[in-house]
Amino acid sequence: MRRKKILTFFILFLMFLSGSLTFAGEVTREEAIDVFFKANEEYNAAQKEMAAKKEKEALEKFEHAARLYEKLLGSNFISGQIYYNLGNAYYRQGMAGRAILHYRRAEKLLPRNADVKANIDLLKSDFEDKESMRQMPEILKIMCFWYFFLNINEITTLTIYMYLAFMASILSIIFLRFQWLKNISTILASCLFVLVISLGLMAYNQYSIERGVVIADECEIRYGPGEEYEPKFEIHEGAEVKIEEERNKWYKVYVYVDVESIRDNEEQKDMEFKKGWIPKAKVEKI
Amino acid sequence: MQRKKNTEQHNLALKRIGKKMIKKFYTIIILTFLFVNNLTAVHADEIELTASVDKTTVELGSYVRFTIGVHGAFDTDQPQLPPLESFSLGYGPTVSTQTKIVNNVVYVYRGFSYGLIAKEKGKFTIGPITLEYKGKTYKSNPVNVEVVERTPFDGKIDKRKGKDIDISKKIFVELSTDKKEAYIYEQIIRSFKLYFQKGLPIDDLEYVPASTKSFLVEKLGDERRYEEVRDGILYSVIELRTALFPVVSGNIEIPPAKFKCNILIRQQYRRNWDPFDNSLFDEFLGRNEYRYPVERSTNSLKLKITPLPVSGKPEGFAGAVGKFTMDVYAKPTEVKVGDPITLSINISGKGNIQTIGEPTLAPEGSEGFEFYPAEVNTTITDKEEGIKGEKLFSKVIEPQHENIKATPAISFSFFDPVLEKYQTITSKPIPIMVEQSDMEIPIYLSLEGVEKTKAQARILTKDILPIMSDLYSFKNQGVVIYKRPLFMALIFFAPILFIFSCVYLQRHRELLQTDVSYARKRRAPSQMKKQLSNTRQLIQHGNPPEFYAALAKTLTDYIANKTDLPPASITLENVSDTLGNRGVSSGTVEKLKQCLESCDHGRFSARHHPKDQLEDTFKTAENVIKLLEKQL
Repeated sequence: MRRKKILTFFILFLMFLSGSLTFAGEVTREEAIDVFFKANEEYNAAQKEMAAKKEKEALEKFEHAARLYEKLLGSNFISGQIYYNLGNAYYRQGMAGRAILHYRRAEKLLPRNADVKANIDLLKSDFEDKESMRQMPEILKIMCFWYFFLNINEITTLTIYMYLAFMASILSIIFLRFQWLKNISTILASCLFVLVISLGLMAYNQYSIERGVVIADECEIRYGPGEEYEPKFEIHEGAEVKIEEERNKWYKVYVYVDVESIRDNEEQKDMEFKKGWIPKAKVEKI
Repeated sequence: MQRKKNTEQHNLALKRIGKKMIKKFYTIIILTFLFVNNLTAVHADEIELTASVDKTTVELGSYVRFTIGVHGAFDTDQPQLPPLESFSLGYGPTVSTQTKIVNNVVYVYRGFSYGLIAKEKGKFTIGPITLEYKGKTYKSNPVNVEVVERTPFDGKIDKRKGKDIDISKKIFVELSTDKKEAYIYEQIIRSFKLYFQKGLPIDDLEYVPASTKSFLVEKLGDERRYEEVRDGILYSVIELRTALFPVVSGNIEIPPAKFKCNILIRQQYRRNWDPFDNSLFDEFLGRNEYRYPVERSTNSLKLKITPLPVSGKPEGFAGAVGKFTMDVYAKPTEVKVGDPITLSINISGKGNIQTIGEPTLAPEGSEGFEFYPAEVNTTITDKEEGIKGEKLFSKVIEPQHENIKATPAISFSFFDPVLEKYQTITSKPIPIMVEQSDMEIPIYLSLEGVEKTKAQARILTKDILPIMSDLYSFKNQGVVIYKRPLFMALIFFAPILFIFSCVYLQRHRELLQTDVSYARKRRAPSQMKKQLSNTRQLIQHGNPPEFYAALAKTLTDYIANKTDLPPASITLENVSDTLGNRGVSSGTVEKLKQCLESCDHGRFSARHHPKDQLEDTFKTAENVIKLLEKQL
């Protein structure tokens, strides 16, 4: 009887947790769906206008769709699908930089979605600047699949559940004398450890390292934070940067685009040379 | 419900297992029956009687072991010894039995051993022994024994060997062939036999076969083991057989084969009190066994190998010597021009099947065919009585026009050493039906040019993928449970709560074991509930005095446990003081007292108590307990 009660308590507790996950923020899901549906309709209509060579009408509709998506995001309803669709809408309006920006945001929330990756690759192939972002080795991606397969919310939720399961197992061993749970709790502890490490890495990667995308057509990277400094090199729309420092209206960035090296080929110096200052207005944080 | 289901399943499983067990049991019975039947079949066969001695020369006054062996039956009478004037019976008979199963044939043997003491010098013949079995009389071989004068003991004993062993007759080897003269390539069976006296413990057997440079050699089957009586002594025989195919002619000598082994002799040792004599340890370690090395070599053999006669040698003869037959099949027999027909030519028989050459196709009837080299597959079917086997030649032929009506005839020639002449077997042509081929379909033998016709699909336009519109998975990913402070607090406080509850429970357990008063107080409610339920059952049984007694006991026990007093000290008189001191309201005490009074009354009055009254009292008691539960 007592065991049953404890088990029921845990089940109810977990149900409470999962149930509360579906609670919406400031906009209810129904309202959000309504807006999302309208925006999608608008986008599809624009697509048809585009096919009919009515470019002006098509552009208007794409703009309208983008506004609807932005409105939805502005009301704290965050979804990978909205970011992706917004990226598409911007791309259709010829704003590849903003498109990449929103695809990157969508990618964080939808790490398993192949469409997002396909669109990013397509856009990147058309950009003026050649980028050399370091790719993760495939073997690492397979071995740490959960890291690349799950987004930060999913990993966090999984970690919490794992933590609760681990606690429950420990409790059952102590109170209910379930000795057979010993091995299971060891496995749970190992999983929890791996998940906590992954969560830490992911949180560091997403919150401590700030990245941005150049949204202006072209932009000069200067030696210092101000117009008075000489321009170092020029990058174009859609180029991705790592923001290292912020000063007034300037960001100190490390650019991922390949820069023609005027010095020797040593990698360390090359890394240093790729850094420079860029006006805030021309970059948007991912 | 679930339990019932489980029980049914369990029963079903048991039934199934039971059925399986019964099936197994029947199978074992049937097999045993068949086996026993087989054995009786062996029993029913004729028997064989042998007589043997352990040595043919014996000193006067010594023992000679005389053994009568009955082969083939266990159920014979005991054979009777013939009247022996020159010997006296020392002991016996000791009976030994033996059963062997070789290639599903059961051999049974029963030996009757007698110890005979030689009384007179001279040459004597023991037996033959006769035995009647199933109406037939069987006779053994006679055994010759020579009794000699006793040699005086010279007092010298080889310490290591114990005593001299005359082993020349105990172990010997023989090499023989089934024929002394043979044709070249003819099969000769050579056998090497090791004779050792039955029961002689030998080990580390090593056989060095005779060199056979001028022969092709093929081992025949496994070694054979049997027993043989020679010169009156029973020997165990190990026979190794080899098929030899001479490849050169002339007088060929097979050099002697060598054989080495060790005879295990258990040494006699003196038990003296020599402290350095470690024979006891030797015995324990098995070192007391002495290995007497024996080496034997056979005589050499001379063979006359005759070359095959030149006269009468057929044209297609390819060196096959022996006795062979040939079967020929063709498949398919209805083909189109250019289609393959497989001729399967199977040569089988006795001889060196490995070296047989391909049979020849008759030139007449071969025109109009295209031939391909034959695939050969050799199988040795028997290795027991010489090499027997078959060689299958699969030859592919292709008819080139539709006028062909049959396959060519096939002939095979060999030399028969028994008939001493060449033989030729010719198969008849096999009728076939050849049709005109269909229109020729060009066959591309190489993939040349294929790449030219294939090309990658050209990308017409590069465009982004369409928008996502799946509403089912559409949700607010910005709102997550872990971002709620209350939840996070719960998560962080959970371990602390866990620890506190652990400590509390541990303390509770300890107190239950160490503090009697605490334990009584904690266990009072559960004990009371149990007693109450037992008391309730007494209402149904219609035994009011017992019911009232039980109810009063429940109440007093409960109060005693709660107040940590002996149950006997809770009486109607002092209960108000006891409970009043512990803060129980006077109303509750009054109710309790009333309840206890009615219990006393009920216990000792002879009046009839209706069931309703009992239930009322019970309910009152329950209420009183509830009140006490709150106040104590």
